[in-house]
Amino acid sequence: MEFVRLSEEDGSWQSFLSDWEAQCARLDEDFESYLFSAIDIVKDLAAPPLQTHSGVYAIKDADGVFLLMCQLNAAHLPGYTGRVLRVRQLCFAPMYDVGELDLEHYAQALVALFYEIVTLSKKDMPAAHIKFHLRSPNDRLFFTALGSALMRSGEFSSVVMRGAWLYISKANN
Amino acid sequence: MDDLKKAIDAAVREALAVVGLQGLKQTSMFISSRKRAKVKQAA
Repeated sequence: MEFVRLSEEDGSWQSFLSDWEAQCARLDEDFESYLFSAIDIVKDLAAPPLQTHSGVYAIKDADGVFLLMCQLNAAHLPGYTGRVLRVRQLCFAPMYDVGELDLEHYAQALVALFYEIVTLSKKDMPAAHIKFHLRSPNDRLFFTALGSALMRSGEFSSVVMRGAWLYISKANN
Repeated sequence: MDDLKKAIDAAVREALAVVGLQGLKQTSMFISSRKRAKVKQAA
Protein backbone atom coordinates (compact mmCIF):
# COMPACT_ATOMS: atom_id res chain seq x y z
CA MET A 1 0.00 0.00 0.00
CA GLU A 2 1.13 3.52 -0.73
CA PHE A 3 0.41 6.83 1.02
CA VAL A 4 -0.03 9.58 -1.53
CA ARG A 5 -0.67 13.28 -1.38
CA LEU A 6 -3.51 14.11 -3.77
CA SER A 7 -2.81 16.93 -6.18
CA GLU A 8 -4.43 18.34 -9.29
CA GLU A 9 -1.00 19.12 -10.69
CA ASP A 10 0.25 15.53 -10.85
CA GLY A 11 -3.19 14.12 -11.72
CA SER A 12 -3.51 12.10 -8.51
CA TRP A 13 -6.60 14.06 -7.42
CA GLN A 14 -8.31 13.29 -10.72
CA SER A 15 -7.27 9.60 -10.46
CA PHE A 16 -8.71 9.49 -6.96
CA LEU A 17 -12.02 11.02 -8.06
CA SER A 18 -12.25 8.71 -11.09
CA ASP A 19 -11.59 5.68 -8.93
CA TRP A 20 -14.20 6.54 -6.31
CA GLU A 21 -16.68 7.45 -9.05
CA ALA A 22 -16.10 4.03 -10.64
CA GLN A 23 -16.51 2.36 -7.25
CA CYS A 24 -19.83 4.19 -6.78
CA ALA A 25 -20.97 3.15 -10.26
CA ARG A 26 -20.22 -0.51 -9.52
CA LEU A 27 -22.23 -0.23 -6.30
CA ASP A 28 -25.17 1.63 -7.89
CA GLU A 29 -24.44 4.73 -5.82
CA ASP A 30 -24.77 8.21 -7.26
CA PHE A 31 -21.26 9.63 -6.96
CA GLU A 32 -22.33 13.28 -6.68
CA SER A 33 -24.86 12.84 -3.91
CA TYR A 34 -22.86 10.14 -2.13
CA LEU A 35 -19.58 11.97 -1.82
CA PHE A 36 -20.37 15.61 -2.41
CA SER A 37 -19.99 16.88 1.15
CA ALA A 38 -16.78 14.95 1.89
CA ILE A 39 -15.13 15.94 -1.38
CA ASP A 40 -16.25 19.55 -1.23
CA ILE A 41 -14.48 20.08 2.10
CA VAL A 42 -11.08 18.86 0.93
CA LYS A 43 -10.94 19.66 -2.80
CA ASP A 44 -9.21 23.04 -2.34
CA LEU A 45 -6.30 21.27 -0.65
CA ALA A 46 -5.53 19.41 -3.88
CA ALA A 47 -5.56 22.57 -5.98
CA PRO A 48 -2.37 24.48 -6.78
CA PRO A 49 -0.45 25.89 -5.13
CA LEU A 50 -0.21 23.05 -2.61
CA GLN A 51 0.20 24.20 0.98
CA THR A 52 3.26 23.11 2.96
CA HIS A 53 1.40 22.26 6.13
CA SER A 54 -2.00 21.15 4.84
CA GLY A 55 -3.11 18.58 2.31
CA VAL A 56 -5.42 15.75 1.36
CA TYR A 57 -3.85 12.30 1.44
CA ALA A 58 -4.96 8.79 0.53
CA ILE A 59 -3.95 5.17 0.91
CA LYS A 60 -3.69 3.46 -2.47
CA ASP A 61 -3.22 -0.26 -3.03
CA ALA A 62 -0.92 -1.96 -5.54
CA ASP A 63 -3.71 -1.98 -8.15
CA GLY A 64 -4.13 1.79 -7.91
CA VAL A 65 -7.37 1.57 -5.93
CA PHE A 66 -7.83 4.36 -3.37
CA LEU A 67 -8.90 2.84 -0.04
CA LEU A 68 -9.03 5.74 2.42
CA MET A 69 -8.58 9.48 2.35
CA CYS A 70 -8.02 12.12 5.01
CA GLN A 71 -7.26 15.79 5.48
CA LEU A 72 -4.01 16.62 7.27
CA ASN A 73 -2.95 19.92 8.72
CA ALA A 74 0.10 20.69 10.87
CA ALA A 75 -0.49 23.82 12.90
CA HIS A 76 0.89 25.68 15.89
CA LEU A 77 -1.64 25.34 18.68
CA PRO A 78 -1.72 26.99 22.10
CA GLY A 79 -0.11 24.81 24.78
CA TYR A 80 2.10 22.83 22.40
CA THR A 81 5.72 23.18 21.39
CA GLY A 82 6.08 22.85 17.65
CA ARG A 83 3.29 21.89 15.29
CA VAL A 84 0.40 19.52 15.95
CA LEU A 85 -0.65 17.26 13.08
CA ARG A 86 -4.44 17.22 12.87
CA VAL A 87 -6.28 14.43 11.06
CA ARG A 88 -9.76 15.25 9.82
CA GLN A 89 -12.28 13.95 7.30
CA LEU A 90 -10.98 10.41 7.60
CA CYS A 91 -13.09 8.55 5.09
CA PHE A 92 -13.20 4.99 3.69
CA ALA A 93 -13.71 4.35 -0.02
CA PRO A 94 -17.21 3.52 -1.26
CA MET A 95 -16.33 -0.15 -1.75
CA TYR A 96 -15.60 -0.42 1.99
CA ASP A 97 -18.75 1.48 2.88
CA VAL A 98 -21.46 0.17 0.59
CA GLY A 99 -19.66 -3.03 -0.38
CA GLU A 100 -19.21 -6.16 1.69
CA LEU A 101 -15.62 -6.92 2.62
CA ASP A 102 -14.26 -8.93 5.50
CA LEU A 103 -12.87 -7.22 8.57
CA GLU A 104 -9.27 -7.96 7.59
CA HIS A 105 -9.50 -5.55 4.65
CA TYR A 106 -10.55 -2.72 6.98
CA ALA A 107 -7.80 -3.62 9.44
CA GLN A 108 -5.08 -3.52 6.80
CA ALA A 109 -6.23 -0.18 5.40
CA LEU A 110 -6.43 1.42 8.86
CA VAL A 111 -3.03 0.09 9.91
CA ALA A 112 -1.49 1.47 6.72
CA LEU A 113 -3.11 4.86 7.22
CA PHE A 114 -2.25 5.31 10.90
CA TYR A 115 1.32 4.12 10.32
CA GLU A 116 1.82 6.49 7.40
CA ILE A 117 0.42 9.43 9.37
CA VAL A 118 2.87 8.81 12.22
CA THR A 119 5.69 8.43 9.67
CA LEU A 120 4.68 11.68 7.97
CA SER A 121 4.84 13.43 11.34
CA LYS A 122 8.53 12.46 11.51
CA LYS A 123 9.43 13.73 8.04
CA ASP A 124 7.32 15.86 5.69
CA MET A 125 5.02 17.34 8.35
CA PRO A 126 7.14 17.32 11.50
CA ALA A 127 5.00 17.24 14.62
CA ALA A 128 5.43 15.84 18.11
CA HIS A 129 1.70 15.46 18.55
CA ILE A 130 -1.08 14.03 16.39
CA LYS A 131 -4.80 14.69 16.87
CA PHE A 132 -7.58 12.63 15.30
CA HIS A 133 -10.91 14.37 14.95
CA LEU A 134 -13.97 12.40 15.99
CA ARG A 135 -16.84 13.74 13.92
CA SER A 136 -19.49 11.68 15.65
CA PRO A 137 -20.26 10.19 19.08
CA ASN A 138 -20.24 6.85 17.22
CA ASP A 139 -16.47 7.24 16.76
CA ARG A 140 -15.75 7.26 20.46
CA LEU A 141 -15.79 3.50 21.16
CA PHE A 142 -13.41 2.66 18.32
CA PHE A 143 -10.96 5.49 19.03
CA THR A 144 -11.04 4.91 22.80
CA ALA A 145 -10.10 1.25 22.29
CA LEU A 146 -7.47 2.24 19.72
CA GLY A 147 -6.03 4.87 22.04
CA SER A 148 -5.85 2.50 25.03
CA ALA A 149 -4.00 -0.10 22.98
CA LEU A 150 -1.61 2.48 21.51
CA MET A 151 -0.81 3.79 25.00
CA ARG A 152 -0.02 0.29 26.26
CA SER A 153 2.34 -0.31 23.32
CA GLY A 154 4.96 2.05 24.74
CA GLU A 155 5.45 3.69 21.35
CA PHE A 156 3.72 6.87 22.49
CA SER A 157 4.24 9.02 25.57
CA SER A 158 0.59 9.96 25.90
CA VAL A 159 -2.69 8.98 24.25
CA VAL A 160 -5.82 10.66 25.60
CA MET A 161 -9.34 11.40 24.49
CA ARG A 162 -10.35 15.04 25.00
CA GLY A 163 -13.66 16.28 23.70
CA ALA A 164 -13.95 15.37 20.03
CA TRP A 165 -10.26 14.57 19.61
CA LEU A 166 -7.89 11.69 20.27
CA TYR A 167 -4.54 13.26 21.25
CA ILE A 168 -1.39 11.27 20.65
CA SER A 169 2.05 12.45 21.79
CA LYS A 170 4.98 10.54 20.38
CA ALA A 171 7.61 9.03 22.68
CA ASN A 172 10.42 9.71 20.20
CA ASN A 173 10.11 12.72 17.97
CA MET B 1 7.57 -5.07 10.38
CA ASP B 2 9.05 -2.35 12.63
CA ASP B 3 7.97 -1.82 16.25
CA LEU B 4 5.78 1.16 15.41
CA LYS B 5 3.88 -0.77 12.76
CA LYS B 6 3.51 -3.76 15.10
CA ALA B 7 2.07 -1.46 17.79
CA ILE B 8 -0.39 0.15 15.38
CA ASP B 9 -1.34 -3.20 13.89
CA ALA B 10 -2.10 -4.64 17.33
CA ALA B 11 -4.02 -1.51 18.41
CA VAL B 12 -6.19 -1.43 15.29
CA ARG B 13 -7.02 -5.12 15.63
CA GLU B 14 -7.85 -4.68 19.32
CA ALA B 15 -10.15 -1.74 18.56
CA LEU B 16 -11.82 -3.67 15.74
CA ALA B 17 -12.35 -6.62 18.07
CA VAL B 18 -14.17 -4.27 20.46
CA VAL B 19 -16.50 -2.64 17.91
CA GLY B 20 -16.77 -5.34 15.23
CA LEU B 21 -17.44 -4.61 11.59
CA GLN B 22 -20.92 -3.29 12.29
CA GLY B 23 -19.65 -0.91 14.97
CA LEU B 24 -16.85 0.28 12.71
CA LYS B 25 -19.32 1.03 9.93
CA GLN B 26 -21.33 3.22 12.33
CA THR B 27 -18.39 5.60 12.62
CA SER B 28 -17.99 8.81 10.66
CA MET B 29 -15.21 7.16 8.64
CA PHE B 30 -18.07 5.99 6.39
CA ILE B 31 -20.11 8.38 4.28
CA SER B 32 -23.25 6.24 4.72
CA SER B 33 -22.99 6.65 8.48
CA ARG B 34 -22.57 10.43 8.13
CA LYS B 35 -25.66 10.54 5.95
CA ARG B 36 -27.71 8.46 8.40
CA ALA B 37 -26.65 10.81 11.22
CA LYS B 38 -27.75 13.84 9.19
CA VAL B 39 -31.14 12.31 8.44
CA LYS B 40 -31.58 11.44 12.13
CA GLN B 41 -30.64 14.99 13.12
CA ALA B 42 -33.12 16.47 10.65
CA ALA B 43 -35.97 14.21 11.83
